[in-house]
Amino acid sequence: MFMDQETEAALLFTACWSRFQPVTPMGQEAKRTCRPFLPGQEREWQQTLEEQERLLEAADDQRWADRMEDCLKRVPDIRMILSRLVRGEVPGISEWFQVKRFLWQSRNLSRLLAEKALQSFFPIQREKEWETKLRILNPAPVLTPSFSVDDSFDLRLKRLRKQQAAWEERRRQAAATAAAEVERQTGIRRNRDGEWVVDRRHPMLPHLKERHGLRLMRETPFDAVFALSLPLSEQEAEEQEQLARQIETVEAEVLKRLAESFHPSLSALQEAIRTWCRLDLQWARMRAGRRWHGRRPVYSPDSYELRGGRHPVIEQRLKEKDCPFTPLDLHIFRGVTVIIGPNMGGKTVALRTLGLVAALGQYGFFVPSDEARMPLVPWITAIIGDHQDAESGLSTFGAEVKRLSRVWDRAEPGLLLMDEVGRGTNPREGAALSAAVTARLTAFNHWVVHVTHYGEVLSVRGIYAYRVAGLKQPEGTGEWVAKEVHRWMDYRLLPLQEGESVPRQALTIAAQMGLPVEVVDDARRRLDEQ
Amino acid sequence: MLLDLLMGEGLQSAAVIGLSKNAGKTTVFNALIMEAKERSIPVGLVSIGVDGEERDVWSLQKKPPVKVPRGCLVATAGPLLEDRAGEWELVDTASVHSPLGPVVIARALKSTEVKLAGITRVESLREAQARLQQNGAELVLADGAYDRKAAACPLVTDGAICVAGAALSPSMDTVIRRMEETIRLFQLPQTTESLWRLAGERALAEGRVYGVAEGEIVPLPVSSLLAASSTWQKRLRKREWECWAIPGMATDRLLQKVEEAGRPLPLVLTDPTRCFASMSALRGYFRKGGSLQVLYGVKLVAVAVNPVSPEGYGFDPVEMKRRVSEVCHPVPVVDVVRDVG
Repeated sequence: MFMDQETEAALLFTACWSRFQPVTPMGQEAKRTCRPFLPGQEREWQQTLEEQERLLEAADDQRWADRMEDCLKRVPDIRMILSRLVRGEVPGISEWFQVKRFLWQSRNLSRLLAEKALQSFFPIQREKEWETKLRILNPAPVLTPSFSVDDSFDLRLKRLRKQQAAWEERRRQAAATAAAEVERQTGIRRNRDGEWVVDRRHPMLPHLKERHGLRLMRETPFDAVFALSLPLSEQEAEEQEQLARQIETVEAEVLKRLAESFHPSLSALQEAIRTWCRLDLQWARMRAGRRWHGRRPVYSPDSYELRGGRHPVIEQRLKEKDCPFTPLDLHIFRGVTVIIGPNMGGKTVALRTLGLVAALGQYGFFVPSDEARMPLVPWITAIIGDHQDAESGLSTFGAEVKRLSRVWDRAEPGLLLMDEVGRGTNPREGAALSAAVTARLTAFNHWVVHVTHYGEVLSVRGIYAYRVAGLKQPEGTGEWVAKEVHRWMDYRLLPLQEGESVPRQALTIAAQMGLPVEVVDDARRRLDEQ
Repeated sequence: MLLDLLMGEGLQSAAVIGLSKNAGKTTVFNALIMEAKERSIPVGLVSIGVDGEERDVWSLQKKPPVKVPRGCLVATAGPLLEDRAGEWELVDTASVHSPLGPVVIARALKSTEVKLAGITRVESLREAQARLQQNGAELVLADGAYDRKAAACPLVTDGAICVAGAALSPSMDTVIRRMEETIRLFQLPQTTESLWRLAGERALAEGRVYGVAEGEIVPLPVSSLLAASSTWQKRLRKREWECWAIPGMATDRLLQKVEEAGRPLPLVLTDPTRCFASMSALRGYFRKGGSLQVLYGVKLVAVAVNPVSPEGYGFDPVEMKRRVSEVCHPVPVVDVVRDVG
């Protein structure tokens, strides 16, 4: 498994994934089975990104992009119809209409791809070839997107339908003449349905009941309803029935011939469906990437390097609270990197941002980072607890230890993101555990990032370390409110130099947030004694 | 003529709804189509299922066919056009599904008949309407589901024609009473107070109850007043509310619960089709100082009467039309079978 559910939740991955919205039925189905690019697929990965880069350039032309989007939305799913054709069945008119729409949109898409010289990325038949197929479903000289079994499919149709129309017109005229005669003789007018509704007390009622050419349709205690009766001679009825049957037969023949005509093109159509599905997915990836101002990630086999990395979901949430997001600069090598800093210093956000950028990158998206270099890994695991859930501290800790032990001795190196291992236990044990886990992980070849506020972790040999830049010089002495900490906190991560001590800022934060001065002073004294 | 009533109001869409099953909706629907044909007005036809419910296939099969003149547009399930394959030109699709398959927009190449597949969701219906209009329909006629008022929902069509048929009851008094109730509902006043309207719109958009108190719109932690009555009754008693806007239905029980809280205040419903309260309950509520108002009113263009029941009995057509006219005044009443155009 590339990412477990807990990791997806911790990285807020689903919220970003929901911005990936293919528009064709095939693309929407394919999204559900999308897999990340894994080690060994670097070429395909870069090819996918290259395609998006080209689509992105092309989409600068907004009119072209709108047309592309509109075409993709109109591509119907004809897979079931093709399956019927493969089985030798004959589709009905509504299915041929769908096939015609598919060909119509395919021609448009081919034209759009050609306009931006993108055919080499999405190899597909040329506009002319689509037109040839369209002609099978549109024998009339003018190509239209609609479909009907019109006369141009078969000369016999034209003749038979003309005969039928002429007969119907004669019948209509005969009916109009007969009806006018009834009205003239009785003075009673027809309603909109061509019926005479006659009050039962009407003096003409007996006459109407006897009258040749009128039929009593229904009678109520209040009125009687008559309709014209224009009986056909047996021969005429037989002729008309035969005419109708002939028309139906020719129409059925036309549909059957269409099915035969499309047989040689079935594999090309199936290939086209796959190509449009791929184009749809790529277009949707490109659009999602554009929403988070994504950049193309560069392959780097040994390290992750972000310049200006962002987490679009967290950035949005902060924006709603009128708080800025501090972009992340970070370089992570194989081994263990420790990020140390005070509570509320943005360490967890950094972890989530790195994990999200890595995951989106592997799913073939442009990533929310001004620059991003990254490897492909077979797994990403984030062990990031819910800091708000104090009551479940110990049980959460147990679950996290379980998840950790499942991944850390996996043979293939992956990306492991850990947030405050050992929290929820007492501080001494927590610190010891945190350092021990870190030490153990240095023996593997994973990319491990461990954020913590336990300074003891820094004593582990062979680790890389960053520290949160931390509090700026506080302005004024007034009390802070929690939501305003961001105004004084510098969330940047700075590489920790050999021998550099970690600033202790918890007491400063506590003091600024209103803890009595004597309590803070006492805490400082105790620290000094230690 | 019936069509004049629609066109005179400048409506682009209208639903034909029945007071009961077998009211005679299709007859009225067909009459409108014929009138439009005579006047060369391009018409689009669509059938409305009940929003949120699937219309059952049994009902669909029993439906009489709709007469479609040449050039008329329909929105229906593709498979329903296959029987008369040569008589249709398929011009567009909608991303809408009916129980009988995906919906297509088709133009009749000659006079023919069609079964209209019921579209069940408001959004889908709007899309089908838009597609019919894009393809040239100047007037969209919607065949509403029987015995439901949902089709007349003003969020769906611009106006409605209600058909009162003898099929409702062998007693003309019962038919007239039901018609009167429906008319009273359709005449519920439309809210004009801007804050109340805003509360109504929020209630509709968010599916929760909103109140207005002291010039302020206040969200309430309930989506309907049909449940959790003790919670909302407490809140009702706490403040001087001007009104409450509710996104769901109003029933006798709901009005009774509001009265129990001692505050029969004005309630704002989305539209009259959401009111399922009886006349007597409504009357009682108004008398105690409460009121029911709507965000969107239904434009009832006409009432059509059908004095004949398929059960075999019938009413005196003249008397029925007269009595319905009395209770529906000033809404015009027509009898499309007996009125000669």
